[in-house]
Amino acid sequence: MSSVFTAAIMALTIAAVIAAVAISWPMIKSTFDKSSWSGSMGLYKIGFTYTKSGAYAYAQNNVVAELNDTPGFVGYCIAYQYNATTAIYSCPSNQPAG
Amino acid sequence: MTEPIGFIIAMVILTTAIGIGLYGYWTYTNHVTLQNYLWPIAEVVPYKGDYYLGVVNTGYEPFTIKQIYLSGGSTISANTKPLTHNQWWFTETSQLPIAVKVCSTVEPSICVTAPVHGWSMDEIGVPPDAILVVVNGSGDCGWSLTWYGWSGGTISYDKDITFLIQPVYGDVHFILNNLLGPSEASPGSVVVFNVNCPSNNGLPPWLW
Repeated sequence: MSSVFTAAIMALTIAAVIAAVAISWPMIKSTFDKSSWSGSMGLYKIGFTYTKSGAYAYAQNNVVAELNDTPGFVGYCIAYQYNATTAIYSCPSNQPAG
Repeated sequence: MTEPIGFIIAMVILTTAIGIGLYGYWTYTNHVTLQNYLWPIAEVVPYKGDYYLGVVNTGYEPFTIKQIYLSGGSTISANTKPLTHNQWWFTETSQLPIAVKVCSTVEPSICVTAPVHGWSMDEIGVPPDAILVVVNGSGDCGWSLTWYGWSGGTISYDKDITFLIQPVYGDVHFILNNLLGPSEASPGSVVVFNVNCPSNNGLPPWLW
């Protein structure tokens, strides 16, 4: 009887471990995904260049938008033209405010 | 007879305990997984004496914005519509926002607090084959600017203006009328001219 009990305990333990690993997998994957996302956001930048038709902002993934004198989004950044030669922007790679 | 019954009872108790434990763990992993997939980005720029705050959902889990934390220690409650992938939400605040709390639309008890990214200033670049001309301070008189050299042209106007001379591959010289500024410029540079109206001795414009 004791060998049956031992076998049953072992079977339960193995099943529990397999179930725990299966349950953990989405969480483990989401942790890696979040880490990858944080890394990509930490590198997200923007640039500004004049063209004949005005000042333009260039964000990643080929996102381009004309700069206005009111804030607007460009990709994952906010930017606007402060004066003739300067833009103010905030991007995911910027340091936290405050 | 008692042994098999005892065995069955022990197995049932053990299985139930493991089941309850696994269910609790499953609930926990679901919570953490959903939390890990809330990907808000919050940014702020100063604008006209206030702060212009934008929040974007860079992920695929929809969320709503619940609270904005300000630098003075106070908070603003918000209950926005759900933001889906790449959707923005904007607001203006009088104090600097430093963090926002967003909660899952699917499971509102799951929330994350995201820092608000601050701002920077950057020059708007000039193409290497162009000269950016900025005319400031126009008011009561017209002005004209003529350029010659690698590129030639003229402009007469009575307001502020910013424009590119393009293409240019060498120095350009300027002839100024009612303007103060440099007499030449190189490709890739910015030249700023200030309008300098002639003295009118207090006369109205039609008697200058």
